[in-house]
Amino acid sequence: MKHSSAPAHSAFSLPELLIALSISAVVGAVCVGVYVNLQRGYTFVMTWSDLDNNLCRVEDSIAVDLRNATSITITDTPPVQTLTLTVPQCYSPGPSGTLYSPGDSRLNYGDAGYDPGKVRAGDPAPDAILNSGTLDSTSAKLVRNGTLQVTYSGRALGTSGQAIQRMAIWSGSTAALSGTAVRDVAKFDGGVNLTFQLSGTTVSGTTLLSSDTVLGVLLSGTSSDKYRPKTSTLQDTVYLRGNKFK
Amino acid sequence: MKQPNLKKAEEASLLIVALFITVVLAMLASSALFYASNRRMTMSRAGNWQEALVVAEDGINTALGQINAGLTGTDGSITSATTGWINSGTTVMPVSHSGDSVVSGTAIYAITRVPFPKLPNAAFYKIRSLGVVPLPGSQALSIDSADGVLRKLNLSGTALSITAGSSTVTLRDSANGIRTAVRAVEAWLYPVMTGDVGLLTGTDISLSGNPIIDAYDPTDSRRSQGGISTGNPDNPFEVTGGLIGSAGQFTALLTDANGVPAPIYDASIATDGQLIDAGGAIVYGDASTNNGTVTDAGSVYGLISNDFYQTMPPVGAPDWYVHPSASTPYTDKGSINGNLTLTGSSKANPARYVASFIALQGNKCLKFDYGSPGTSTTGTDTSKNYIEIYVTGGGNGGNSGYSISTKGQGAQDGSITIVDGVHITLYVAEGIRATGNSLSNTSKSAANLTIYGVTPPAGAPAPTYSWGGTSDFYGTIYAPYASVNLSGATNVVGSVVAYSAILKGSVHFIRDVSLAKDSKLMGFRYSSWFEDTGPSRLSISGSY
Repeated sequence: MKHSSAPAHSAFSLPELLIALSISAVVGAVCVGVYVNLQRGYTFVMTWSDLDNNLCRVEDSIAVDLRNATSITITDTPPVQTLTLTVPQCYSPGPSGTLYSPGDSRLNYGDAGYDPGKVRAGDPAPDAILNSGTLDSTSAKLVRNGTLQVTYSGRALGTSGQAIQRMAIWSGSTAALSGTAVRDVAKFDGGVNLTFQLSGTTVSGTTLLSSDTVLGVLLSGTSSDKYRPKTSTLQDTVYLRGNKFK
Repeated sequence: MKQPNLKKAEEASLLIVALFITVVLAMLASSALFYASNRRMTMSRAGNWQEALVVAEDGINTALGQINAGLTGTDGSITSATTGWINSGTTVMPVSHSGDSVVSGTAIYAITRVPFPKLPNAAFYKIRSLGVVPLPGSQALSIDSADGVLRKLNLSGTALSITAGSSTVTLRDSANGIRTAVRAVEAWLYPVMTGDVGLLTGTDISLSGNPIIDAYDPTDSRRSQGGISTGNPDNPFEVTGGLIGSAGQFTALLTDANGVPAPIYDASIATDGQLIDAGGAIVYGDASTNNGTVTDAGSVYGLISNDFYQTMPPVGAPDWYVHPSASTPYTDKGSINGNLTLTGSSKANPARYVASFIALQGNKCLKFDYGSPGTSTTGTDTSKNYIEIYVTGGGNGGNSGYSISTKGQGAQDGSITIVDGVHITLYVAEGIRATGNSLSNTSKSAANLTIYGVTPPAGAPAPTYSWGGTSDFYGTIYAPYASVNLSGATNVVGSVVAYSAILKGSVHFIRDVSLAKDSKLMGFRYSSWFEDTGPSRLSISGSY
């Protein structure tokens, strides 16, 4: 019976194994290093992207309210100033009970023109009815339900974090036209700065005039990435519509 | 006996390991790609959402331009806007922008005309505009639900579209992968009347000496004096009053006998030009320029702003002169340089006259009076109190360039006299020169005299309107191409719209606030602007 000698070739000598292990170790170390750096870079990019998205959300939210506001007041000093706006109340409560069937535990939005819940807090309710206004026969002024006071301010999160929150207080002639809601527009775990500028100068304790055409909104947020904390800045110039056209 | 193939076993292990590593790497890569793509999509959609607002505002501005372009209706209605304009229902307008990612959008706008009884010559308008911009990507929203709250993108749902005329715009259609960002804006427009401002010019305003710019309301007992109540049960303050005197709005009583606060009226001055030289004049109101400056403005009590602009529609020769017909006949009086009385007719069918020029001095007088026959007592009919006259200009001898020149030496001497209660609409092709109280509106009501400066032919010199000496003028002037010079101890009560204005000396310019309701419509301006973020943002309607 003839035996094959092939298996004898499949074995590795000790030097071969040592060399292979050494090369593997070097290659592995390089790969791990590269992977770690890639992961850090990836995390950094994602953090930066999230940061910019959050800044953009705050800017967009403030811009919508700023354009609609008929009165604009800026208080407090940097880093986070408080913006208080008076916005015409342009929504009436929808027909009560029409949105959800009886017994549904969800909120019946027919009770208010604005959503008092958490997610859409202070936004028009899903079944709100638009009130475009009527002309007062004496003053020729537009008459709406009442006003909405919208406030943007900072809220501390832990030791260094901060959220920009939007509070809406709507008040009218009836209980259905009144309410309050608060929501965080965006959170910044490394902190945030929010300042407002007229003609390039930060203002405070100021109520804008009708002749003030634009307001600069300067926002910068910081991530809490312990390796490379990132600060990103976004500046928006908002053309004031409601404050001028009234 | 067959031995196992160890080599093949090793290859299988390697294959499994390789596959495992490949799967892990693929998962890592796909995860990275997913998150990166998600964020990129969020930013891209945020840009489109911003673009939708620009498109919506394009719709608003286009509608405003069309409304202003078509202002020919006597009640503020639109009759001749740009070709293609749809003045009833809804208009769809493609809008292109060269933004980061968006190249096209669609504006859908509708207008609603809102009559206002107090302004019979005008109306309010509401414009509603939707900006629709297509969205990239799938139905998936950002990983952050805040985007859903803030931007309310149309990513899914049953098909929804808006049809206007022959155009249909789809807002969303899941079956066909149509996703959009839609933003809705509503703007209200208020009519701008020639009586809305005290003094408005197309270019510079110069005040020097000691002019005073003030305002009063002869229909309000709290803003006039010596008035007689009209007996209006809805407004106990409604009177036919006179000037407050030398006191300005800021020094007059601010409450009536019952403690009811009186409104403060704005005697504003404004220019489409870049300069108002206030010259230390007292201005009880705002001073506004078009990206310009107000100099020597220490006594301007109102706001000083530099973002003013107001179109001033040109005035042509009266239609009854250009297109005469049997229903609107006029009488040609030739040149008027001697004693003459022109009588009126009803408001619905006023008496109409044409003259080449009016030149009065010495003991010559032109009188505007009631029509006749009237009662046996007066000989006149007080219901026949409306007169329109067009002074074409030319041939005025030594007064070349002036359609009207008067040198008054007394109320009835070298003057034009308007009998109390008679309403005059005067169209003037050239200039006006009046001295010595020679344009006497005896009612002292600015509403009774309206002067329109007809646009001069191309190349013709700009007409000049000048009042000097000791003159009182009660009336309104709307002459976008004329230079107005007021000097001496001249009192001007009413409103003035001109190309330029120079006020010198102790001129007292008093805006009559009540004129707005009967004055000429100049155009529209925004009075309210609102972005609709509620559930109604996907719908549009208008009624014209």
